[in-house]
Amino acid sequence: MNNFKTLLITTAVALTFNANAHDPSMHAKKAAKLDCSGYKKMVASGTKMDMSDPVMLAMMKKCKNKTAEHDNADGHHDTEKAGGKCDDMSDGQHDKKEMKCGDMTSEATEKMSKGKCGDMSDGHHDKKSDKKCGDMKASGDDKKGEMKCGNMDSSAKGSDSKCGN
Amino acid sequence: MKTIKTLILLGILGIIVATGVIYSGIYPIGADVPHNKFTYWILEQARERSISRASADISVPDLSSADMLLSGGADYNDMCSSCHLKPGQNESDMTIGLYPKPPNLSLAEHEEEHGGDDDETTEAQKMFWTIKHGIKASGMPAWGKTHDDDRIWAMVAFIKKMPELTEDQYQILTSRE
Repeated sequence: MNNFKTLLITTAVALTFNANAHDPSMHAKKAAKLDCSGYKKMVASGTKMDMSDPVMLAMMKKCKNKTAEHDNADGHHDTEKAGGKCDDMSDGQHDKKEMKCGDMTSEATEKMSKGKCGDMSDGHHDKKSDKKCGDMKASGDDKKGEMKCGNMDSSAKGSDSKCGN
Repeated sequence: MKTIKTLILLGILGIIVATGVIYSGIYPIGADVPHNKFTYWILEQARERSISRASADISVPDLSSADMLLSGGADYNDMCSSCHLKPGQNESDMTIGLYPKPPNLSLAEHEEEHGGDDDETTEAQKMFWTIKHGIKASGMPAWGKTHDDDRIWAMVAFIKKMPELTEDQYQILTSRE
């Protein structure tokens, strides 16, 4: 009798796990990719943002994380930063690395930023951009910006910070 | 006395006719054949009055949080947009095939379908109740069986904002990344 009771209770407890609300992660596979290009354009255009608007705050939250992920993941600075928009972070935070990004004025650097390495204007992280950065190192080009980009994946101290990874 | 007997007889006759209609199967039940206006009116009144009564005592929390918009938006996109559409979308297979047609929640006009005179609080109450409990024989599920109240309130918060959103804003707020 005791064994039967134990079996019954165990079964009941096991079944309760099925009654949980279904987790948001179940939807993750079919989720559309986040595209913050519209938000970035709005920020870049200098549109005044109503900080009391929950829609605006939600967009900022979403796209700020997305931008930060891209910066951390591959060490590239994006076109906005290279183009002197390092300071354009609506939450008021500044990163020294971004200042350095803005200071890179060589033509090669501009090419790099406008090319695949820095081209995240659609909010996506392009795998090819990694290869191109790596390729620049391998090609041994002496262009200042590309060398710095190529040095990013090494443990070299100075180059890392300049590329704002 | 004669009047009462007549009324009772008419009542019994009405029950017999209704039973005959039901058991004969002659009433068209397909979703592609609309109800006649009278039947539709009866069902609509029953629905609206039932929801009004059942939702009257619901306490509405603050719906202005950005986190609620993000949570509710992602859930709405995954669970609701196929029927209730999104900004820039006018129809889907579900809106064409379902009867009654699901309201297009991306438009402000949908509010008029459910008593356009409601204030913000009443609207939120009804929305919450409808999402949580669903509507019988309509295709609207009772999401409360699989989602807690916080998630449902987040959806309410998002749906209330959705008519103001552009397609870009919708895409950002509903992404799960």
